[in-house]
Amino acid sequence: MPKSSAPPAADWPPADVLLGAWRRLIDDPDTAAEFAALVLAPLASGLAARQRHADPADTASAAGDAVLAFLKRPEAYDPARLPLANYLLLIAKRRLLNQSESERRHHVGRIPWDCVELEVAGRNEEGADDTPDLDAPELAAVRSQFTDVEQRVWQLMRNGGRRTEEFAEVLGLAGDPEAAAHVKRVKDRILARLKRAAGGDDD
Amino acid sequence: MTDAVHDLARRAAADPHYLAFALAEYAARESLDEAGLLAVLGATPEALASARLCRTPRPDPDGFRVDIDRVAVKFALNRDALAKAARHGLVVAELRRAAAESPADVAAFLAARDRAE
Repeated sequence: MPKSSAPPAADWPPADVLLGAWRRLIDDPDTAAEFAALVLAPLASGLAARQRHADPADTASAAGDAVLAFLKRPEAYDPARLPLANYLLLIAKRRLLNQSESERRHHVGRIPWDCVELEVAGRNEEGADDTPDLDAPELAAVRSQFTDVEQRVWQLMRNGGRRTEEFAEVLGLAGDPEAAAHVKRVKDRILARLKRAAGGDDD
Repeated sequence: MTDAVHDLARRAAADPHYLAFALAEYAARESLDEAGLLAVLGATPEALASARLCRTPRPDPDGFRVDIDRVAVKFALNRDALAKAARHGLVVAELRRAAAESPADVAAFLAARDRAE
């Protein structure tokens, strides 16, 4: 699918302006549109800048989801813990990851079995190694279904990448306190898909 | 207000938390397009987007009246049309919630309502 054009860069308003808008939102939820008008564009462009692999339409959608989620419970934000812009970016990143995951599930269900069927020589012979070769050409169809970011994570795995920070960087989650959990989830997902397609255990 | 905010306000229609849900359900029932909804509410596009992102009024009579009055005054909307739309939205949201929990009860309720009508 061709990628849509990236949103124009938009700067965040100063932190005190953002906090003022947040406080107004707490006092008067009817100012939701004003708040959205203030944060939506910088959030979309900020997310796109951090997630360059993602389709700009997806980052815009995730930014919108994040704003709608925030507007429902603005009091959940604690200004003592994180600047508001970072908080919104964190929500938007999670939304984007969730979108990618949903899309992946959708595609996985559509892989025809004959594309991933393997003929593993000696598979049932005594003493044969039952570990499927996840790099096998026969699994190219599965790998071709990976998103851009999954492709990069897979390459890093193949190249022996072990440090969480390396994977977090690829996922655009550098510095995210929950990066380790996200990294593990993405790696597990990739391995499960390949193992399932290769006929091995998927857990 | 940017197009992106107008789009966001329309997207809020998927969530009964937002007044956008009630307005969308009401527009669908009355076969109103965007221009029709604007006309019924006597709203500008900016006011409609702002109203859509407001919370759905509380369902209790006092809360409902206070919330509707506040939104109608703030965004200069036709109060009666807004109240009608919001009431319809509350009913639809409640029916959907009930349908998810107990489809048989909702079917019985709708059948009884149809007989009464």
